[in-house]
Amino acid sequence: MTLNLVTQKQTADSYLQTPEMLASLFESVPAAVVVSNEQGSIVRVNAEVETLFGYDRDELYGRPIETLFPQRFRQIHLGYGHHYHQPPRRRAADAGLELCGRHKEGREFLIDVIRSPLETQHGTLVLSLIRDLSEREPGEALRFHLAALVDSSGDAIIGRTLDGIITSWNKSAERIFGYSAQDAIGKPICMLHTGGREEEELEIRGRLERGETISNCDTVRCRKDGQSIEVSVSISPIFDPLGKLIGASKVARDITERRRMETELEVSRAQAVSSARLSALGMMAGSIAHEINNPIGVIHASASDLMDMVETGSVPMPALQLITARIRRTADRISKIVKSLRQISREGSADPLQRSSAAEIAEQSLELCRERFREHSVRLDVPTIDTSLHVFCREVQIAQVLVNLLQNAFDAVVECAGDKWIRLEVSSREDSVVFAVVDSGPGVPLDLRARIMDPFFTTKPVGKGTGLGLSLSKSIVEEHGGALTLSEMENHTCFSFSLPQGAAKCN
Amino acid sequence: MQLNNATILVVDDEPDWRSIMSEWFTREGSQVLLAENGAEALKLVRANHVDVVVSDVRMPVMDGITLLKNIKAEDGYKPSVMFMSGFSDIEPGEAYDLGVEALMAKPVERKHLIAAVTRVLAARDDLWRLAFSDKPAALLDAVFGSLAAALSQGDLAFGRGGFRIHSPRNLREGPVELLLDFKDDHRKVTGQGIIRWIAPAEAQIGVEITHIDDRHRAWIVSLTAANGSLSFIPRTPSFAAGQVMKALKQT
Repeated sequence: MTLNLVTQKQTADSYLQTPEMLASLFESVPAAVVVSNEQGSIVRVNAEVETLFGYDRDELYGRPIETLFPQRFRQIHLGYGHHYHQPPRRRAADAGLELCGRHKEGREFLIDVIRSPLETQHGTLVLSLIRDLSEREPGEALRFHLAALVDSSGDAIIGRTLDGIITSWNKSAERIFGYSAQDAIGKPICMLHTGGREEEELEIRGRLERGETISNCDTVRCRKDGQSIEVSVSISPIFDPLGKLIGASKVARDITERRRMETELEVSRAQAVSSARLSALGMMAGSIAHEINNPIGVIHASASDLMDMVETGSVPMPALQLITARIRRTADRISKIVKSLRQISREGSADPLQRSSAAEIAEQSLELCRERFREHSVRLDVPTIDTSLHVFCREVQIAQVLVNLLQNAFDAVVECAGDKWIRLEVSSREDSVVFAVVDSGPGVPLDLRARIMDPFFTTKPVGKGTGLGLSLSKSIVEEHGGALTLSEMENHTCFSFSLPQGAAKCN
Repeated sequence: MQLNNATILVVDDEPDWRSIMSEWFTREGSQVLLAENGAEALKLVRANHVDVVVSDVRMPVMDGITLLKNIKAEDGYKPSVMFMSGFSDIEPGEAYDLGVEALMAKPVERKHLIAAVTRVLAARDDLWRLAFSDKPAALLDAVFGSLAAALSQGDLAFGRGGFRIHSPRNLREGPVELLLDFKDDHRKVTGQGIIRWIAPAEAQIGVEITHIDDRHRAWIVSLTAANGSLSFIPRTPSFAAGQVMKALKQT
């Protein structure tokens, strides 16, 4: 029995030694086996290779091993193959390199390749054991799918240990930070930190240890080429199945472009606001230049009359009185306009809130509009304003709002036929003072009412309005704790706002 | 006509300005009428003989431009209108094209105003006899085949006080020496003028004539007088030329 067993074993041993046995063993391995030489040429394949890839073995012999992989993977393989022709002490076979195989007909399928070097007297051969994953359990395909998902993400996805050593690095990480996966894996994450931000890592680590997640934190990191890059970073701790903290995943999004757009938007908004102010002033400028030039003409002419008198040597007292009074009166008129203009053209947003006379603010605003209204035969109706009314405000800004409202009212009525008028009413209501601008125009159409105070909304022709006037006015009034509202007063458009009343001075 | 037997209508919404103007023209011996806007002025023009209207441009009720258009629509040539504006309310090209004979800006020197009104009142033949005491440094010269060709091609168009010329010369507004050579007509016109506007993009220049040599003065006066349009200096090429051509054919 024992002998028999020994004999059987001996027989089997001797059989196993035969080349036929080895050949059939090679053929019956339940995986595709490819043997390639130092040049990467295929020297031997088994039957499974033929089944899996659709080639006859004769077609493959002498061909590069890359024939079995899609074009896009070839680079990787060449690199990998090379690895085995390094000094033979690097023997470790690397397992689990999931890839794609390419069938003779062009079809691609998931494979798993295990390679190992084989020293022979004819040189180093590489044995590649290829398994078809597509037929395998879905878990492996899913794993591959997840890996591909990470790689295809537009965000950099980086795995790290708690100590800050990089453990994984996807394609977008490569693109954003400039390091390849080979460069980065195994290196400290700190290499991405720009100078002066090292303490961030300490903070990150502290938070990770407490199990906290850092989400969408905008910061600056450093690329391989030394350039700073603005990124939005989210870092979450990773726990093993036993709940032990083992590392973290870090997702970094390149926000340079977003930042650039934000900055651009901010700049263009500031420009729009400032050009709206300029255009409002520009619209007044013509009237004001006219308004100033007329009195200058009068002063100039009066002066030349005085010179004529001097030249002729005849200076009659009554004429002298008349002319000098005229000069004085006219110069006063100019300085009043200039004062209003100086007030209103100031920025004013940084002025302190002050107790100001409502009547004076109204007068300043009216001064700048009066001439324009008169020239276009628009009647200005201002019921007497109670001089005891005071508001707590930045005077310049409120005057700007009033000029804007008066200007809008003017634009609304100027083309209208018949009686054109604008009324400015200032009244008190409980603890506030209400400024109301009413006009004889056709009114604001119902469908526009909701949008009329939106920035850039305008019904005026190109070049006449920026669509910022009302929205700016609204924000100024709101900054003062008031509200700008559109209502109707006896069928007429009425824009009004209220401001807190400035308490009378305590004596 | 002289200032001392002319009637001047001053139109301005500024009371002080009206009284100053009134005083200045009265001093020259003129009859003075005053209006505070275009509508009032139009009533006065209809009811009175007026030689020159000196009007502001921006005014309530009716502005100067509307007043001018109304006056020109009623009786082309008379009264003459000049603008005295407080601001650049109208392009010179447009103003002269509409028939304004002088465009002044406030503030204004009395003697300049009086000189301008005197020129407006003067007959062309007298007016263009005298040359500037200082010869202008700038020269505007042009050679044409014939007058008829220049007019029909739109290279030249006469208004009642000057002409618009197509010229590539890079000139500025101000006094200019004139040399217009009409080869086929054997006429070499020399004279002086004031460039009132330039339109570089179209290579057009608007010139008010101030002097024409003795040999050609009558000819040029006939060309400007033959102008059926109301323009003082035409701005647009087409219509004035056509009317001059028609007038030329009739003579």
